[in-house]
Amino acid sequence: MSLLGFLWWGSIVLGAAALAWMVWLITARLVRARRDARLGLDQARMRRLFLEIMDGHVEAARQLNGPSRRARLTAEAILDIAGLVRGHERERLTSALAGLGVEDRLRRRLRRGSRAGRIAAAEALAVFPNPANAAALRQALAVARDPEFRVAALNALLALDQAPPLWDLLADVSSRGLQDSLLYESVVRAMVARSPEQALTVFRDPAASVVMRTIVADALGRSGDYRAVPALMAAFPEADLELRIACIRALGVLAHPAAEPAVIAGLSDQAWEVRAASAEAAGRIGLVSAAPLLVQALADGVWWVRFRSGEALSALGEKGVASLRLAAGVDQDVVRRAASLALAERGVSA
Amino acid sequence: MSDALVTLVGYAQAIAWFVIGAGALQNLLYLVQLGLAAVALSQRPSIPQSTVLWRRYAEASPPIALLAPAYNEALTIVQSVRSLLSLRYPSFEVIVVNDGSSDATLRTLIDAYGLRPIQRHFDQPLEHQPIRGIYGAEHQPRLIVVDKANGGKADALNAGINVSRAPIFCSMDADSLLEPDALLRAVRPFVEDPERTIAVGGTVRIANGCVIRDGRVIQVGLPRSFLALLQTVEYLRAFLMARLAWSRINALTIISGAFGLFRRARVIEAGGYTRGTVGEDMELVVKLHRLMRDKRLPYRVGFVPEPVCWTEAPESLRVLGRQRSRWHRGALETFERHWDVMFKPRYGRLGALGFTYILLVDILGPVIELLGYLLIPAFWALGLLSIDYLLAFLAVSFTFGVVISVGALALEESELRRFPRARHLLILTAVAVLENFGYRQLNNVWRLRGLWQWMRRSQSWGTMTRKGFSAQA
Repeated sequence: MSLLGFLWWGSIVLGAAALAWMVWLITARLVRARRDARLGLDQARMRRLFLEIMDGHVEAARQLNGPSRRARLTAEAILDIAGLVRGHERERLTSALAGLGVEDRLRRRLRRGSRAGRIAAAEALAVFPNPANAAALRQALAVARDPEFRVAALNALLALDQAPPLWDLLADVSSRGLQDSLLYESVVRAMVARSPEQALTVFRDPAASVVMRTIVADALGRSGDYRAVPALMAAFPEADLELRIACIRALGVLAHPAAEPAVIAGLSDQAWEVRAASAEAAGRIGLVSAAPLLVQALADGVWWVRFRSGEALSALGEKGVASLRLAAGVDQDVVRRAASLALAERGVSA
Repeated sequence: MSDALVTLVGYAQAIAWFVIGAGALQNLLYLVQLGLAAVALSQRPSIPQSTVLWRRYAEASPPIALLAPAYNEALTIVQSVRSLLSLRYPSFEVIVVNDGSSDATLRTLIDAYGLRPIQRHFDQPLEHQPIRGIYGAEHQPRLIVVDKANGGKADALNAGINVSRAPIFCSMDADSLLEPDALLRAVRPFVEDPERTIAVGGTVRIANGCVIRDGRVIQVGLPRSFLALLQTVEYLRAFLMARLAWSRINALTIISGAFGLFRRARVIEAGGYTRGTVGEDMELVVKLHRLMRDKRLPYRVGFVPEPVCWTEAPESLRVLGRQRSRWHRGALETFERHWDVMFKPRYGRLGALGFTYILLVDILGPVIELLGYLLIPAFWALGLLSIDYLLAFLAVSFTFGVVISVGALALEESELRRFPRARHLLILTAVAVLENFGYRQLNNVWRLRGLWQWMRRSQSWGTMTRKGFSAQA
């Protein structure tokens, strides 16, 4: 066959195949429409039975025997309902489901079937405080590559109070190149909030990489544990920019006055990100002693530093506002604008 | 056979081979896109329900500034803003930029939301027409309205970027509707890969025929107008096939101006939107590619098919023709400014694939195809070409078109299933076949007009007449 003939007949064959595919999809849609309708009814029924069980109608559990064999359906219903309640009602529901063998099915589902189903199973296991569930989640985590599933499994382990050691998690995240993922950031924050001591040990460990320490610094700030202040201050002068930024932001979030030397030093840092974060920290802590440097920073070449400095000064009370009023009257246009707008945003007249 | 006739046949065959070859190459690219899109769709992250999405992503989601430029939209602006303010996202602000409207857009907003002038400290790294005032709403802390002198959409977006403070901004049209969880879905690449992700596009779909209440699509339907139906298939092909495919290999050169998320700092570094162009959305994405490749930094320009922005499609040939000519002019302007990336190895796939595709499909494609419609049947009728040439031309101009359109629809049904009824699929399949006979050719004529306007340096946007969403039912 010539090339021209091949083009013609090739297009006819492909066109016919595309139309046949479409016909098959339309037929499948008709079948699926019925199945989806049934699924919707099953979901509604399962939610109703869950509510009855939580209300104390134990006999409702018998009616769950059939539908609860479908692991994904059950997992999604658990996430819908059990995530909203605590206490006796939740215990009633989880013990009824455990009695029906739901945990076992969810554990098996961790390794089988669609990705969405595996993730739902991992999340649903979080409501069953059973060592076997934690073990199954750890096993699944050890072999799973999908980041979304891994985060779901980690969160479930956290909820079961069976999270892996922080060091192991950080090393794993770094080795997979996932240290930037904000999803992992929230997992690490939750772990550090539960065990700040463990996080401080990692942060101080000379064997910890800069990436690991940067992640932990951020989480320590959000933990609200003041024991982190000396460690963060000690780490602040280190050369790595990301670590310096993380430390000064964490000190700002902790808002402890002991962070004053680091914040004052940060206001003169070479990196604008550190200067801006230091200005923000000064405002949060209420460091009146930083006011002269903050006024100087109103002339900074980077807008974010000027903006954060203005914000910080306006947060320092009378002395800060007085400094802003003075700055709003100077000749330097950039300083005047930064100061007057900082006052205006606070609703204070210049 | 005389020498003259032999020469004539030789010329006719050479022209036919050129036309058929260009068409075959174009279709080959489409088939590659279809394959890439199929792989991308099958490997995409799961699509959880809104409540699950919130639980999984809300805590990690960065703040977003929604930038909605508005020009003479007094009739619809209040409903549009209400719809934006009711989006489900943990931290966002809506910045409406009134681009010097000559109607009562600003007054309507002031009255509806009780706006009052506020002072706001902002940097001015991007140029734009002067800002006349900034307004805030006492009972809607998320809403900021910027009133500025008229300067066009790109100019208004630059003003919005300057005034915003969130690390990510979402550019959109004030007259489009976002699904309530569109931001939460679109932000996923920024959450999962925040260092590399600099821009993400979402799908734009046709709202004609859908049931819309209070600024939300509550039931997906098909347009009654045949012209809007044709555009429904066209949008599926453009978004689910082309954009998904190019994003898969990081060669996406356009994110629709109706819905795109961008990392603010990188956009500022790239110089923001180029003013005085009608293809500012494409131009920005290309500038971002160039910035990152010039700096040799790893980056990602992504496309997420699930977050949906609904837009109203024109239902008159005149308005649609103007829109398509303008779009084509925008592509040509971008190509003119950045054609050199095709010849510089450091631009990699952007030049080798993205721009070669624009050259072949957008610039040369319409001209060659229309030439083929005129010459090849004529050559065949005159006996200069055999029937094989005519059939091969029909294959590359019609039959492959059916394959691509039906293929895109099949992808939609296999992976997303947004059309609720089997009947919809049946109608769309018929439309996917029919669009190749008449509509496709008309589109090429509009593109040629765009080419002509570009050569004449026309900067007109033309009037986009819309019925408004309140009329949809």
